[in-house]
Amino acid sequence: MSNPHDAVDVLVIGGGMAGAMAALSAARAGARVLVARRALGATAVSSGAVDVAPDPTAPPSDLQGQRLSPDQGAAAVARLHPTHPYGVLRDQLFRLGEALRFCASSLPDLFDAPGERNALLPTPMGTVKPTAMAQRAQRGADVAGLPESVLVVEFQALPSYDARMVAGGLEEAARALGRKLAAVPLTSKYFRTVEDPHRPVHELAAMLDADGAAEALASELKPQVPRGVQAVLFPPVLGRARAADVAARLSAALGLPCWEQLSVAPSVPGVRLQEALDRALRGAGVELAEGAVECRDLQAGSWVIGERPVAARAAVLATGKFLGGGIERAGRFRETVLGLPVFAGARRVGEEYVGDLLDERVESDQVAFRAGVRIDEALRPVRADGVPASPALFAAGSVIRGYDPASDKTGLGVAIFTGYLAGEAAAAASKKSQEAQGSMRPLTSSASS
Amino acid sequence: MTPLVQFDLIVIGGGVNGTGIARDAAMRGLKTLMLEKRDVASGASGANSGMIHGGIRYLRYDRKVTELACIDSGYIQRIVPHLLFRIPFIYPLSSANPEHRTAYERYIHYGTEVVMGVYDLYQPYKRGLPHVRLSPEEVYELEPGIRRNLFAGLSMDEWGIDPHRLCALNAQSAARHGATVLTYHQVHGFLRGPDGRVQGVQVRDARTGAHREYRGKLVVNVGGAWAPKIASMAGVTVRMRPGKGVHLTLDRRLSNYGVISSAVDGRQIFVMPHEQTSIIGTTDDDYYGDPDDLRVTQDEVEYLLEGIEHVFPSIREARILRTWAGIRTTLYEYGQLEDALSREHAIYDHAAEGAPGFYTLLGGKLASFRIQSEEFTDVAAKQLGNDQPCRTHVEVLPGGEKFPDVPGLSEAYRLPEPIVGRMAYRHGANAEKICELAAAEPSLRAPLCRCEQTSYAEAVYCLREENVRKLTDLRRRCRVGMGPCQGARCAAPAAALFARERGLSSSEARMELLDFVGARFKGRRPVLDGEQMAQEELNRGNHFTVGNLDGSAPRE
Repeated sequence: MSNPHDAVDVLVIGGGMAGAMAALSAARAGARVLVARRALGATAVSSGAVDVAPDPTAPPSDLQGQRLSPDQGAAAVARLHPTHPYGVLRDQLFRLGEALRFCASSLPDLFDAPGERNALLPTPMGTVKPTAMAQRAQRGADVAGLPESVLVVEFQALPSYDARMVAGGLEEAARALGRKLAAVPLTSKYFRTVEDPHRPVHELAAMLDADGAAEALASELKPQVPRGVQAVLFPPVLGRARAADVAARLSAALGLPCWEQLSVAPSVPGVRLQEALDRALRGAGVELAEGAVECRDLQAGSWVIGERPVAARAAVLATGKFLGGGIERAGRFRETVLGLPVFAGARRVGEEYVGDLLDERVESDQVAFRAGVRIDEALRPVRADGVPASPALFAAGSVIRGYDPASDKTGLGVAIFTGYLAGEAAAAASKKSQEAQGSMRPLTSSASS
Repeated sequence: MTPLVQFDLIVIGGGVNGTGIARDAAMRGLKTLMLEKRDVASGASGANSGMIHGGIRYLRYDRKVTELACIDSGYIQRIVPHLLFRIPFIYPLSSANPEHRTAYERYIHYGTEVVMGVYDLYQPYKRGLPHVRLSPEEVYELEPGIRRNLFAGLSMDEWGIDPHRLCALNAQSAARHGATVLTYHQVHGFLRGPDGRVQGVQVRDARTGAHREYRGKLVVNVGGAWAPKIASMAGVTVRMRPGKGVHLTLDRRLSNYGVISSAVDGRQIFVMPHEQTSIIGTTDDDYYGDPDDLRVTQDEVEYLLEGIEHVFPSIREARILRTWAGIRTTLYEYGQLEDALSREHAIYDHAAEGAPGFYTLLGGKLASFRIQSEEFTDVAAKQLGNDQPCRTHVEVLPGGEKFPDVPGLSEAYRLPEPIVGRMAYRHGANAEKICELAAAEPSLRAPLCRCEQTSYAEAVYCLREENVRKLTDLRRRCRVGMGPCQGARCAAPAAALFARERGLSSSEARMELLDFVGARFKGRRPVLDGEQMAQEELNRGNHFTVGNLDGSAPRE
């Protein structure tokens, strides 16, 4: 085998937000990077917007309190939860803003630089959610900044996005903020056909990507828009490939700013985010390989991806949790690639009864969903004895123990922050091992052929 | 104070006996009130194996119970034919060495076959087929997942049912015959006459908190697991031997047939295909706790899995969705094992204890609910001077008139056949009304719960016609959220639909949603594992990471 890619500086396992950030930051540091992944993970089913941290001490009803800066939120999380990645990495937390800006500049199609404060974005469940960085088609829907009269559109072809629920929630949230806001629901029959009255979100988004589609939708809606409406909120289907474009074209055709609400899974904005990450990776010269990853020798950096042997000076584990497949629980908790010990909360978990790690109330903080590998302050996963598994192995994203995006709302924020740092650390470790080895030894045994 | 309403009969409890009595009494022209503190079938009537079975098990102890169950099961088939489905069972007979069976193994084989032979005598009552002796090869062909250590197998014919719908339909029929059916109304006291006579009840509306009194000439307590508590409010004692029964639900139909196995203690347990899922059941242990706080333990789950693994080795790889538990209200006996307790029912007249006009019906089986209800209604009717005969065995329940032509409806209304099929199963002749709803409002044609093939139209029909008071009731009417995704996709849209139909605000809808999501989670908690962990992460992602139901939602 003489494939030059068989020897890389940094191998990133997992291609969601955490893996992509790690790969991009390692590539920026000059490393040759290979991203190996099995399939799409949790990023592709995310809301598509980046949560960093709401104020963990503000009561749920205090919406104003949720509008603090992401930095302050993360710092508060770090103080309250020492085992949360923000807590473990609190000495580097000052670099969070830098990581977010790096993410935004890597995905120029989707994001502008993060705002000063968390935005409160409408969700399909009639709530608003504190979010640090939203896609361009989403960010204007911040309930703190929306104009006083909003039209909420639902499509008859998409009954799972209910305009009444969202409109009512917007008004409630505005009242809680002491704002005046009226939201009116409107049902559009635009996509309807008699034969097939409902369509999957991805299909609607693809239809809106087509030339002239946004204008056609706008001209159908225009006569139905009540007088005085100052902004229009849509279900999260405003184009898959050309989101900002679709929102902008709708806005231009309607003469009103148009935004989309956050998405649940299956998620168009989530896939949009994943595809933007893939584009950024390719743009940075990162190679993407699909297939299961197996480690032959961690200390020697010998891996197999699918059938293909790869030698890597450093590696980043960014395999996700249960949804991504990095952690599984089949009778017992297990880290799937390297068999690293799994921790949840402060303790190591294995075969114990899962019910003991779950509170009866579904909305509670659930220890079982904080499960993951334990890292040291240099993002290196540790073995059971607390010693790093390898000086050149790092972890990023939800494979790390200590955070549960469902209860602490720090999901993609942690992925970006840890990915950014882990990529940099992996590039440095790779450089160090290269210097230590000099040019005496070939990178892989196969490279000598 | 609102004026008192005078009823002939007040029924406390909306389980299968309560709804059964309410229907029977209303059909005989008695002015009837049924009160249930939650939804119909929210206790043991909804947490059983979902079978109208003849109770072959009881032949060992109580032949009369088996006979009664088989006869009544035949009547139930006649009044609600669409809601029953055949579940043939296989009883595998295994041996460590099938070629050289021990005398005990032979004894079990012949003994079981003798019992089945007796059971065959009752099978015709419920259109059941006689048992068949199968060779090991035949069993393996019918059920490839069975462990290959058999020397023979026996078949047994039983019937499954959706017990939630059975209760809901009884309540609906009762209401159509003039009964007042109030769910989410909890009795907290009795109105007494000078001689101690029970003359009515004090009731709290669980949703509004309002208090009311209702007068009734007779009051019957069919509170199931709560019956002793209700009785004590009237100063009388009802004793029972509460037995906790735990079931597991799997994500799919794992086997072709029901398969019987022995648990570690020799008790018979089973795995069976049931609607879109498989069910493993059941435990039977004395229960001394609060019936409102029934939890499934790790031991109970392990007991069932270990028992099924015995005949079905791959069960450990199966995806378990959730657990559920109910309390059998068996009659009190001291010194008997749980399994040996009679499933006989009893009617107690509390007159002798100083509470004339107050009765309790306790015990019995799902399969003989109708005859139990009839027996009590006979007693009540006699007391009240009503001589109308019982007609609950001849008059069909709503939808039971005629089974619809599924392919015909599917074609006429251009709806997918699986959706119409499940609709027809649940609603019988009324499936056509649902199709008409979908025709009038095309957006209702869409599927709401993809796992259970429930359309928006069906959910709307249930919301409009089937006394759905809370969102959680909807799953008992049309199984919304009961499939593998456990509501990850359908719970929020269902809440929005509920809000739309009822005119609820966004925050009220979210309370219903959180209540729904929370109720489903309680059953998943004890068995969360494997693939279902990933599903749970997605579920939590939708409702909490994105939906923020726990967070910034302003509660108004």
